[in-house]
Amino acid sequence: MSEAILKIQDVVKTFGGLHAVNGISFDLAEGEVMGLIGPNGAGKTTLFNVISGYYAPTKGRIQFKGRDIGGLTPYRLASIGIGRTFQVVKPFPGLSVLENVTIAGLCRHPKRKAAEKHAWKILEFTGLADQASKSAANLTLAGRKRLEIGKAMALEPSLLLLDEVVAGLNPTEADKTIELILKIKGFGISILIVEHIMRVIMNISDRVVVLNFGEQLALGKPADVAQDPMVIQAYLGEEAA
Amino acid sequence: MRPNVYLWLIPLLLILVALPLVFDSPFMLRIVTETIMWIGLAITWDLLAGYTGYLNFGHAMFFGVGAYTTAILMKHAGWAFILTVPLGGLLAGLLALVIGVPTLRLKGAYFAIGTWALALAIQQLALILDITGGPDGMRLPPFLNPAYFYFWMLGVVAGTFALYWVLLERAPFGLKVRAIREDQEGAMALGINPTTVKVQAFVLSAIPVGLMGSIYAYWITFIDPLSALGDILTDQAVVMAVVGGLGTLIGPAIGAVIVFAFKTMFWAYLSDYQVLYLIILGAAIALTVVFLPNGLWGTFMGYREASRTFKNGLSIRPRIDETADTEKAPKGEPDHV
Repeated sequence: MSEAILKIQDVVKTFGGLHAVNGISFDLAEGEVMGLIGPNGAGKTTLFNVISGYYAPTKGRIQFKGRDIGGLTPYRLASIGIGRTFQVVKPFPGLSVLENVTIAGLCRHPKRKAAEKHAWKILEFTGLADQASKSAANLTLAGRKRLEIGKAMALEPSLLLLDEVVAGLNPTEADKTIELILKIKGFGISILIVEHIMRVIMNISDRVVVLNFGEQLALGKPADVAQDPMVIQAYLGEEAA
Repeated sequence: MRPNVYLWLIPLLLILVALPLVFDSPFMLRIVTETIMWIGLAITWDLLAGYTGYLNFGHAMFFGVGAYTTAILMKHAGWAFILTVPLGGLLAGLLALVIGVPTLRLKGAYFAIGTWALALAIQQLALILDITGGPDGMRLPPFLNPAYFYFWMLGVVAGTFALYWVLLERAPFGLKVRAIREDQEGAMALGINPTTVKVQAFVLSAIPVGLMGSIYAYWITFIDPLSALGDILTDQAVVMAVVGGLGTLIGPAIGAVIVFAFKTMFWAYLSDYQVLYLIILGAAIALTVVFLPNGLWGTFMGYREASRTFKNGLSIRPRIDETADTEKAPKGEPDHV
């Protein structure tokens, strides 16, 4: 794997006295898939929001392609190639599926026609093409999660942040989404993925970061991390460890 | 299906252009001019409210800025009317820019409160300044040519309508404002700078109103803080847009025609009961919001869409067949014992 596309150094985010994210450091190599796991409230989504510009980091450095991006706005980050999805999906419900993706496509293709053409490609890729004219509000949960991925992909990102895109899906839908993520990985796009379902993380991640109460608990290959007594303790409690 | 609807507007525009040539009634022409003005006020208000999702309760201030620009420049500086009109629009746009940059960061009700308060402040300013004539208002040199003002108003409103159609239904801008309306955080993740787009929308909604205010001042030849800056101007535009259907171009235009026709009739035949007008207006808005939240046009389009879905037979199809069968059975075949 080549050089790091995303470098996170001692990132801290506090809300008042609460350290939601406390001293996280890791590198994400180009084309790598990094799993981000941890119990509820561990700070995974907060870390996502810091990386994607929704929160400015209280301390620490975030570098994307060698450039400091701490404190840049989400739309700046989107335009330089960081795509993200939201755990609570954010479709534009009053607009059609095609329009939803076209809006994202405008980021790279400022003309509406070109953006729409690009959007059709994305819809084919994500398997939403036959629902293109449907209102986004009428999609199933699986469809909406897929639409989230589609919108992020329409930005033609070099780094993709996926926040629980598999959670809540039935096994068949989950398999399809995993397949989709592996295809995206095949394009050489670096992925940082938050997921609770271990099957997903173990299958697709090259490495895994474990957070607990905002602290970084472990970092390594999925198999090694799963054996780590600290991780087992965080997930299952004192006795299991 | 959408282009069809808008294609109907071309013959309508031709009829409107020919109107003053074929019939010669200053009174009717005045009514039509004012109707067109209200269409303009309603669609410009809807650009920000219906498309972008921000309620501007100070729309009248842009109208007043245009009106007073023309009045002051013509009266105190001796400018030609034709030069004051673009300046009225420009100043209204500038005002929107200055107000928009800080206030459009506010969310929801705060923007509505902010614009409402600012409009009141500007109205107060017009009441106390000498240059605006204070509460006495300003009288402009009369130019009694109804057709002249008719064409000005028609030109500005038709131009605004065409520009909005291109921007909102054809260009990326329309998608961006709707994305912000639906979910601002989600829009940011897709590379949209919400403040920039919202300020653009605000300025675009203010400029035509400034132009119309300028024309109005010279047309009516008298303006005062109530007629050019009063909140009834905003309120009526709001009612028209809501009744017609927010988030569309045609809806507010239809709403404007209906509400203004109602108002004119009311004042013509029931002027003894003027108080009732505002009560009926209030009731109309309440009923629309409760029973037709998409307005007349939105509801109509919703029915059209639904009936098309019926015909093409999508997911609803099986259910129709079922009911059709159960209804047929007793009538058609005698009964098979």
